[in-house]
Amino acid sequence: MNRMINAYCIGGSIVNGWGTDLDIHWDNILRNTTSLKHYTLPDGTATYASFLDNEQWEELLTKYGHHYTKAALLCIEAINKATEQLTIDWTTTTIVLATTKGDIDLYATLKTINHNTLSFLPHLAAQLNVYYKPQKPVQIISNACISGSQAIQFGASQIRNGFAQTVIACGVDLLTLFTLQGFQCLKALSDKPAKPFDKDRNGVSLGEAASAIVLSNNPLPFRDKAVVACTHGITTNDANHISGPSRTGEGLYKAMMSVNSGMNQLPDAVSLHGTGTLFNDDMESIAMQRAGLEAIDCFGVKGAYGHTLGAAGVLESILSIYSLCFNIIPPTRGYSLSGTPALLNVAKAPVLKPLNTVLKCSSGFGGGNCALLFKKIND
Amino acid sequence: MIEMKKLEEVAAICLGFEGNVEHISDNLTELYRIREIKYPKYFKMNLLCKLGFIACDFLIEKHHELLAAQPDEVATIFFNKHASLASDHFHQHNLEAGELPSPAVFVYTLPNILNGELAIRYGWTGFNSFFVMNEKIEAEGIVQQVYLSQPFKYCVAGWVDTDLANETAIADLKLYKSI
Repeated sequence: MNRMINAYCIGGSIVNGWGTDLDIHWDNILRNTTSLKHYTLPDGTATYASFLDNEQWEELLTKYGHHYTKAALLCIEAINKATEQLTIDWTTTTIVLATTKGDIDLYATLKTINHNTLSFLPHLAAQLNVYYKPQKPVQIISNACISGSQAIQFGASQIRNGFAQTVIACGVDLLTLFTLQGFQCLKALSDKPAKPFDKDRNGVSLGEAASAIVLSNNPLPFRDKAVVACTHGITTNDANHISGPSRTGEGLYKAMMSVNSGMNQLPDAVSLHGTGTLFNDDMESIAMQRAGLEAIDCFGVKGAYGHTLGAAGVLESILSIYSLCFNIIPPTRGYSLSGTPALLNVAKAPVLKPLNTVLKCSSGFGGGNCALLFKKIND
Repeated sequence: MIEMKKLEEVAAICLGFEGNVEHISDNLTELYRIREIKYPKYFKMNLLCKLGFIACDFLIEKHHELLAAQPDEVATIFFNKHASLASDHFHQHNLEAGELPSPAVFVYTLPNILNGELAIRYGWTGFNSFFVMNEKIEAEGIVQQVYLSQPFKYCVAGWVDTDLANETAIADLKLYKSI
């Protein structure tokens, strides 16, 4: 007899230019505001991006000390905020870190990246090992834009299978010219705040953030609100081009179908990846249609946060959980008129309705797709 | 009690190279030619992907049945220490030299592009991930844990790392089959 243990979501945080108060984040999202600000690239091209300001960085340095790198500071702040009302036994806790580039800001100050071990991803993990002393070394997943979601899939499954009592999945990415000019050379940057699924969308906005979620075998409510579990997680790949999404949404469709069949019903809402690029949002709409989900209420938050890369999956999962807690589908900042081949039910204003399940989707470079299911547990 | 599913190691390959990027790249391309691989996209890849790609070709030679597997039954899980640092370096160098950044370089500044390249080549659609760690030993147990999270029939897994500072490149791959 194999009694299923659930992976309960018992804490969470988001750290970005809006600060660290999750209730303020949620309020900003419901008011349909954005943290994206006008930003001029070195060649004079205008775009929008979301950064932490100098005051926030000074505060973090004062709080934790100058010996930590910026990415480590963001992770520590996110993890501390996510666990502040909880009693965490670090000797039975695993940390899974999700990041695409880690301490990328150190690249710019170096002549030879290779000899500067401070910029290595394992150095970021090492700093967290020193700070938290968890039961085993911090694990890093670097799987492009699905890193965060996959860290939750991996962490939740460790709990469901009895390998861990508590897993903290923390996503982080800083924003520097490395990424901004990279996306610019792919002609993927929007000249306005990203407009996911909108007919006038023309690219991504980028943002820096960290976000952490606490997964546990102990059924505590998420921030004293509702008991929510991550019940399913599936990763697929449909790469046909290393930096372009599938035209048919095959991988995302399969991931969605796998999660839906696991719970024998459709989700009440879908939190989409919604980058604001033509191809991604088209692909997602096709996958939604093929999975029979086009009428389901859906939303995307990258018009508010920008694409936070490795942090996105965690950050958007936290907002999905809040959506369940408050029974509100938040608006999609930047969306006004549909511009996708399949018409989706994208929320423009907060929609109040009873919610028991939210499907969270992520897709990324390298062809990865990850679908997670968050479910309210009403006992 | 957790039911531990058995994973059998059905093939393994270990390739090691020394020298600078050009030298290791030449060595790999030599193998590409000797093995009569016909795949022009190979030449666009960064060193990490070339290394993983050639190692995987060896692995398939040792266990042809992999090619007959259903696409969604094959997972890929890689580990390394230096992520995509060599490509990061080229992209950063372009920016600092005031040159126009190149899409052909930038797209390889993610380690999991290796999973993507193999998915494109072989059509595999199963679980895929890239873990970065200090020591190979930290990878222990990950393949088993992934299997419990999302079962697969086959999993191509292992260490694929290019270390430019020490001028080494190592691919240590194993093919696991669930039984």
